[in-house]
Amino acid sequence: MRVEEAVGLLIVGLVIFSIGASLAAPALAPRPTQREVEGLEGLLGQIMEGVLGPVTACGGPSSTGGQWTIELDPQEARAMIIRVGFGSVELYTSGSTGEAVVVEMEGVREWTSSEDVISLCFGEVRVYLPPGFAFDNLTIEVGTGEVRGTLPISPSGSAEVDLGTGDVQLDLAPQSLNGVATLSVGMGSAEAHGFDSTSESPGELRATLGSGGGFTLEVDLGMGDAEVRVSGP
Amino acid sequence: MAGPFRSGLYRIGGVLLHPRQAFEVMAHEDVSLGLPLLLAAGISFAEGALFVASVVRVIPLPLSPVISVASPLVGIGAAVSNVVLMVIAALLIHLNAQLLGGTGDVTRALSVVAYSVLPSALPLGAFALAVLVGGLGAIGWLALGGVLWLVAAVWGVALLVIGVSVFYNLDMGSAFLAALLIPLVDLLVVIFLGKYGLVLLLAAYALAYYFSRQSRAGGVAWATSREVPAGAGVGVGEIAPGELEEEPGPEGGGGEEK
Repeated sequence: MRVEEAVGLLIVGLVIFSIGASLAAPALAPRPTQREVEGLEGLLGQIMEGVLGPVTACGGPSSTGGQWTIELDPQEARAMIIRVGFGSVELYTSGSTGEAVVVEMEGVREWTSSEDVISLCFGEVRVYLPPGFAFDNLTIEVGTGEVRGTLPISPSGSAEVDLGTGDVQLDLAPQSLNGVATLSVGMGSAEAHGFDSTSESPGELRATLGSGGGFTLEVDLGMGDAEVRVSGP
Repeated sequence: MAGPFRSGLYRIGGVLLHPRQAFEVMAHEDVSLGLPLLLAAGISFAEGALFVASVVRVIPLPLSPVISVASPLVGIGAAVSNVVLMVIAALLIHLNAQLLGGTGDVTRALSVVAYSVLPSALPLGAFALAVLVGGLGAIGWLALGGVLWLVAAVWGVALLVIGVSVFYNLDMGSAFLAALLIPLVDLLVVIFLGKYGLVLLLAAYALAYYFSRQSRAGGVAWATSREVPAGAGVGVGEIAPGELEEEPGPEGGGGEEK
């Protein structure tokens, strides 16, 4: 074998060796422990929530698609949690037959053990409230979508709307003339109508009705427009 | 089967050890494109895949199983994109060489580009060992790879310039311009001026092509630094290798008939 052939063979050998090493090397990397994987999942979850807002887990073994109607006892429904990954939540103060709170859902649902927690991965949630009904404690969490309708709230009740991306348009129907609404919008506009006074700081609009000591409404919106209007008790 | 392979090995070794002589021999034979191009693609594959593999080895991310799947995919992407880049480089070199008065065909330019990549197999081997060894032991191999990378870069540039000089019968200065300097300037113009730079380059090449045609029609070998008699600048490929070796240096690269 001549020197040139030997050098050529060396080059070919080095290339083959390098390709082999590049394919074998990842297998030599230390495997992550279960704890590390869980830590990373948690970190990714936090990042997702920071970007998109609260996202309901979808596609699990307990999720199923379709259309449902649930009737809830008004006393139980006074404290309610509604979670939607992608979709809309609408609140109506008419349309309920009888005294029950009627919840219509359409989309992919994530079943939960408690009926006062409404979880929908994708789709729409329509809540029909009977006359005279008011929420004591309402939490609405939507990743991307819309929250709109009429929100009756008890004199010392609290409501929290957390939306990643989308619009919030609520007609507030408080049972007392004292309360505070706080609208925090990361990127977009915030408007409050019908309140006695408003104060604005960067990224936050605070609207007060009466003395401000009664109900509380907090709207936390990542990106979009938020509008709250007092439609009267 | 062994014959062509050994011949290919001989050519590779010949190009790396005494490039001018090897390219001059190749200039009178069929161009050997298969093995060098395959090896250059293999080098690109290994570079891409090794980069991903080294990230997995150095940073023990919990995502390493996912990244390790990406390693061969990145390698394939690097190989394909580098082969495309080599073809573009060959076309550019061919165009530059033609405008500078050289004669040759684009497949030879592509073979020169492929051969010029081969010295990087040396640092690649060291980097591969570094990735395999891991830990502190990798530092020595990385340092060796760094030094070899510098050597390979100079070696590759030398192969490129010599190859273009021989295949296009250009003197070393013109070959340096055609193979390295003008492509580098083209790249910088496109990077800094974007699409306007691309339009500017196309216009410049069109003008250069027009003037080179004009000057050739007038019997002057445009863009060569020498004064040559009317009618020169064509048929230079007929110069025998022996004649080239008798007159080395800037005057001996060809471009004129004796």
